[in-house]
Amino acid sequence: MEFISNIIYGLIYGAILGAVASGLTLIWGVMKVVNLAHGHLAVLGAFLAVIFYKYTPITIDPSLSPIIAFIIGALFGIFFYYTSLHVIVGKAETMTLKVEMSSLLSTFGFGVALYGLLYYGSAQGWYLQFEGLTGWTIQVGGKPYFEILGVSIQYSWLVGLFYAVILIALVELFLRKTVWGLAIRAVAQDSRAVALTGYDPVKVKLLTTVLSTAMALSAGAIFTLYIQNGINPDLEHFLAPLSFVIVVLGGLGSVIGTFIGGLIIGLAYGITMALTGTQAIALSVSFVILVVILLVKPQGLFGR
Amino acid sequence: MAEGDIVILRVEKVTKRFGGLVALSDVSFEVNQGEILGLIGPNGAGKTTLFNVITGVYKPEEGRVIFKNKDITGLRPHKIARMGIARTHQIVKPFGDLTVLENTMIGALYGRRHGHITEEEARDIALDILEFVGLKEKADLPARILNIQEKKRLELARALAEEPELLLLDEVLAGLNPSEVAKMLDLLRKIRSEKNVTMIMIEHVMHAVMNLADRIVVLHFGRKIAEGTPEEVASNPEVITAYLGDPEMALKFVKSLKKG
Amino acid sequence: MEITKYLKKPSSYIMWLLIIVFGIVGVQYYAGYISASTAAIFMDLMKFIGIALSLAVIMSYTGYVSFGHVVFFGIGGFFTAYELSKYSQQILQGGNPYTIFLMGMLIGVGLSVLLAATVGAAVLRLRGAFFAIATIGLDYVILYLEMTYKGGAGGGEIYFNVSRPRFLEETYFVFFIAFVITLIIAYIVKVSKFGYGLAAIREDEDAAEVIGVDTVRYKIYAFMIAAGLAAIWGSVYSWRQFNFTPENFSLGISVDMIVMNVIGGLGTFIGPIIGAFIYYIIYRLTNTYLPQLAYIILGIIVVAVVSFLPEGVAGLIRSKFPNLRKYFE
Repeated sequence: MEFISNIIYGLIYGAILGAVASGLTLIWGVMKVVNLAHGHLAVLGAFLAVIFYKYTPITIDPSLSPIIAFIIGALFGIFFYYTSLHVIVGKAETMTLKVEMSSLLSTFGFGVALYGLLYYGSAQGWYLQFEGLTGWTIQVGGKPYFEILGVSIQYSWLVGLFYAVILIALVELFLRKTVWGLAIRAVAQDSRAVALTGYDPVKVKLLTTVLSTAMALSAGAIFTLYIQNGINPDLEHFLAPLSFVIVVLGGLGSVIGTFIGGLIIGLAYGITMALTGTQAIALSVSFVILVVILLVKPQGLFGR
Repeated sequence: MAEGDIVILRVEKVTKRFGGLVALSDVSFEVNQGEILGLIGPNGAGKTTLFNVITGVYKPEEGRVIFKNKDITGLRPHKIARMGIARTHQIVKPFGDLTVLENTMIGALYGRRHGHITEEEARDIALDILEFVGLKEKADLPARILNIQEKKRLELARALAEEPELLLLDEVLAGLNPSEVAKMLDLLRKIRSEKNVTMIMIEHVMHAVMNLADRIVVLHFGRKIAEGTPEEVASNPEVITAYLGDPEMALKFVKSLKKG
Repeated sequence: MEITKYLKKPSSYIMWLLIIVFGIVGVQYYAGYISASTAAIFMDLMKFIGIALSLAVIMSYTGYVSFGHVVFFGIGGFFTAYELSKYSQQILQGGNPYTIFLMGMLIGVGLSVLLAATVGAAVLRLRGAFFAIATIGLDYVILYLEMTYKGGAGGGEIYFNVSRPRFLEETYFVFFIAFVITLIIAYIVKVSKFGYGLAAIREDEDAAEVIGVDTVRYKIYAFMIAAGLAAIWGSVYSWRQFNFTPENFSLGISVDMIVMNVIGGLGTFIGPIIGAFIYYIIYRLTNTYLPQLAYIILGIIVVAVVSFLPEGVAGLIRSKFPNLRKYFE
């Protein structure tokens, strides 16, 4: 029974991790910017969920936090683009390996600064000691969970799962069905091609960064709905590496692939947890999967 | 082909596929020591792919490449380079952050005399070659700040520094203006007369290749459709038909015929 | 002899200057003219320069950014601590701790080099970010493996005691020897023919291969050297700390190494050294005056350097003062 519950938990967890990784697949797969700040951005989103629940004059129910985090994330994405990316990738016509490595290092710097800021926030007790969303539940019929196959599942997880699916679906629709989505996908090929279609490549890059950042923050809030407690800056050390594994697994630039990659990693995680009971080994397994995928099928399971 | 010519490179029935796409199909030809062989054909004919097969970047599915009576098919590129085949790239690939001199020295250090050359010797060779190609005064500048014409010369210098017996030139004239083309042609003639290097050149500038090459091989959709002296090739109806698929090329081709 | 020729080049002068200055400080410290806290600053500097140069061989010379480079630092430290704690009885009964230390270091360095050779053969086929991520994965896997070791207090921790009179003074010279070895190896790799080949790989790997550089072998050699140097520093660091903790596998140390290389400037021998000095000053200042802001300031500096000074401080000096180029290789 515990085995089944671990698998079900793993799948829910995996879907949410897939949402966390989906913003990365956009900026990395499309813009060729290996965003090492991605994990920190997701943690910022997680912080926002807690802040709005506890530390603002008006309490905002955490179940709404993914939406608010998305909006704030979009604004923050503008800041992120103009501070860390514009000088490096704005004018680059094609992403050579050198430009790619520069963008990797500058986003890494941005991430370190953001980590410092979040850490500063927690250490100074500015706003919160991170007990997370204690006291918050969603109850149906007086109970915060329901049982299926003898596995109890919290309603709040379902909210998280719902948002994860919606986020992925909306972004996929945006990319496939809108002209801006088309422009974003064209950037992946060649900046000059975009210029030919009449769009300003810089605007397309800005839009991609904004969307990716908004997704990261929103997914961070979704992640908070799931784990509820233990929100701290060091979560990045967990979220970022897993995001990279999932993105590579799903294929760079494939949002749907990321979702499926998330499910696979969640499943692997759940099974390893069930067998060994150790988080550390479960994480190691993810990395073994990563290295094997990189070497055997570097374009990912769903990559072109 | 005159009697007594020594064959330096023999391409035997080479076939190269990418997935379902056949890039080269059963291509065979020979190159004699000391000659300049022109390799022409419309875009996508497989010319650069053929260079990549000869230099070991791609391994052909079928066929062999024989260089100086040794089978070099499937050897890694650096081994082939050390045996004496150098090349330039269609899209120049200078080592941007290194100086012009360092770029050229690397060619000398790792080329045919790999392992038997000191840094000082490599530096001397590199300086000689830079003078030869007319880049000596730029020796200490980083390669990335050169203009396109200079980058092409550097690419040539780096290849020559390897002291190759066979030099593969991939569109060294592309992107140059007419006066630069003329200068580059002078340089190529000088290489031929002073360095005694066998050359295969891919070229779209028809009058150049018609003037310079001893013989020409024509590729079309991965197949060799003609081979012979410039005059023979130019009057070959199949070649003209092939180029008619590409009107711009056909026009250039006809023009070059008139000049010839 | 080839090597002595390299060691007489003008670009080696700064290295010799560093060796002389740090050597004199050591002698003064041993003689009692310099306080332990001042000596500690010089030891920290040696470690910073050492780990920065260890990463430089693969990241800055060859162009492969290894985010998990700390894994070799950790392995070196682990086996040193492991050997020293295993033979602690002998040491307490008057055995020579240095032979055991050296043994642990050799095991750590040997295994690091071996790991770099085997794992490197696989992951060095990956380019750019993929390589960076694979090395992070490598670090995590080894870290989790290490944490299953239950030797001392908690998971993956080892403590040992080798304290003896003048331990710190002697340790200064342990650091100094590691420092000299690192400087000389990193310098020779840079200025030798091997270094030219690595630079070619960094600038354009495909072109390098076609010119005749055995890129596969060169990358693995560079990775092995980088790994060995990092392991030496992990080893001497454990020796100084009297312990080993999983913290020695922390990506934070990788961050230090990368930041020093970026600030100093990629592609040069002098870059990581300058970067280490600047980083150390920032590190001391922020830790003294603004400890909470340390990461924020560091992050901003990295973004600024990458955006506006892509060749780092060394690159700036080299382009502003062309006459100094021959000293700032």
